[in-house]
Amino acid sequence: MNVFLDADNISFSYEKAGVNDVLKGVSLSVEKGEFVAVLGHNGSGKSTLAKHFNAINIPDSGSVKVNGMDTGDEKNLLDIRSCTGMVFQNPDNQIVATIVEEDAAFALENLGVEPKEIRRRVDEALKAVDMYDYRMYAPHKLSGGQKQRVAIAGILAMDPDCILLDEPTAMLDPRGRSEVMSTIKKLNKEREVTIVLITHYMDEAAQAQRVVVIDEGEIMIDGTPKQIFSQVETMKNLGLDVPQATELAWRLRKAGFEMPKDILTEDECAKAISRLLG
Amino acid sequence: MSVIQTQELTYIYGENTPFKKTALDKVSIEINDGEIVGIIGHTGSGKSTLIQHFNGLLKPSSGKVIVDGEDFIEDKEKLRTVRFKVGLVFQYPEYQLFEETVYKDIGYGPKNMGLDEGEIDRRIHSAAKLVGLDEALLEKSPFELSGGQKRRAAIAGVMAMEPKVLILDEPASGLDPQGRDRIFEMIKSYHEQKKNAVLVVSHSMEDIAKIADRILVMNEGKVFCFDTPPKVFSRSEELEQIGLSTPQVTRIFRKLNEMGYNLPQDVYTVKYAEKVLKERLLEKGKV
Repeated sequence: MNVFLDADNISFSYEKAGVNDVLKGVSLSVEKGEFVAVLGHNGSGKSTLAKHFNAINIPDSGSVKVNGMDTGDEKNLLDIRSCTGMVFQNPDNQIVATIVEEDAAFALENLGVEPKEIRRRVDEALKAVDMYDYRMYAPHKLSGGQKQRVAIAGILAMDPDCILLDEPTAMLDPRGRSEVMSTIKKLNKEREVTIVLITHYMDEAAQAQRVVVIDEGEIMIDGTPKQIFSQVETMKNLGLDVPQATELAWRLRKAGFEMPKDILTEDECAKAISRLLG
Repeated sequence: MSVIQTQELTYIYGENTPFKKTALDKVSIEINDGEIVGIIGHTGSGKSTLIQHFNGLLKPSSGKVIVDGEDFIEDKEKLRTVRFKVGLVFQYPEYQLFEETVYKDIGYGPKNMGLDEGEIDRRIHSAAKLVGLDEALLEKSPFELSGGQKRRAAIAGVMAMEPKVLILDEPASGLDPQGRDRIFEMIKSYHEQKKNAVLVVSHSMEDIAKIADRILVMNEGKVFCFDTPPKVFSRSEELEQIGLSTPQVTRIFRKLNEMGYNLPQDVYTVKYAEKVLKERLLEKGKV
């Protein structure tokens, strides 16, 4: 057991905006190399929680530790932010340079890394997200999915242990979404980067190892995608959805047909139906 | 009767430059009065360029756009009235709110149309009701609203103009499943009340399938197909080849058909899938 992110009974309010109790005593730990998806409707507190993991938010009570470092201690900030990067929803708000490779190098330049080392790390990061061929492009000429991958490369160049992604595919078309998802999965598998993915898309959450569902500032369910999505009624009551394959299986089961409870993928569903049809 | 018609509509970005790109290539379509049309296509397929022609934001490089029987593009006065006939809600419209109160923001369009105070007031209240904004919110600043409320206020502003054609570009993007359903319910009830044509641009086949009478699929600046949802979804394999994602149930049914079960190919909602399978299982006496 090697806990990387550890939130212990944290509560948080946006006092200035008068929004109280956004998080009400949340405890969550994520292990090194895990891929966790966080689901919850708009305003459930999921983004607020994610922002605690790279010290953008500091809890009002309780504590958050990132790789053992307390986010409440200001001298840890730089170390925390260089080991956990964050990708936001709108790619246009995160790109600062006029050339792709300069954008990916931005953080490294700020950290005062040697130019030679910057070159090596930027090239490597752009290759990892499949954007190396576009390194001399102007970012505005790229598609949304490509821009998000450049944003991921900028973080990857810092060689982080963990990447937090806050609805990174919300503004993308289906092609862009699948590009970003396969990049995330590759980084998790090949480089063992810890991933926290906030999303509204159930099919994306289904690809994670673990799904956490937040509602009204509290963690409601926490488990594998199969455990989570088999609770169709609970999910619907929380204003969420389940993949269509799961829903179809659930409806057939309710109608009295024999269908397994933990169907998640098209293949599993097609096979189960095929058994029914004989 | 058609409310929008295009004849060989072509639009070229950056003509006479090295960056020339044909965004629309001889598009000829007709949209009927009172129907709900879904417009689908991946990024760069020309769908946004197309809708911007419908209220004269873009001028065709060649070909024609006829709205409500009129070719308006060269006539400045007609161009102004077309903007009232065709209401366009852009993506993330909540960033366009600017007035002091929600009431004034929704009333901005009707006011510009030169309507009298009483009519403006009636329209503001009716639009707010349609999108489910509480009366108490009308006197608030739009910036005090939640994200979802802002989105609905912005849509109400265009609905209040009661356009003959309402066009919404990705109205549900960035919202959670419940928020998405709510936006589409809202569009449906607007349509039921006003009976005016509605065009919805979306990446999500699932969402479009729920409300559209017909679906226009754009690919590389051309019309790929323009037909009823069952007919469009029966071509799911081709849709995937042009970079669109089809509903998961459609793919499940395709797999079953590949296994040799002779099931319909036009299944695109979970409810319909359930119905088809139940009937098939009952026939076989497997209850």
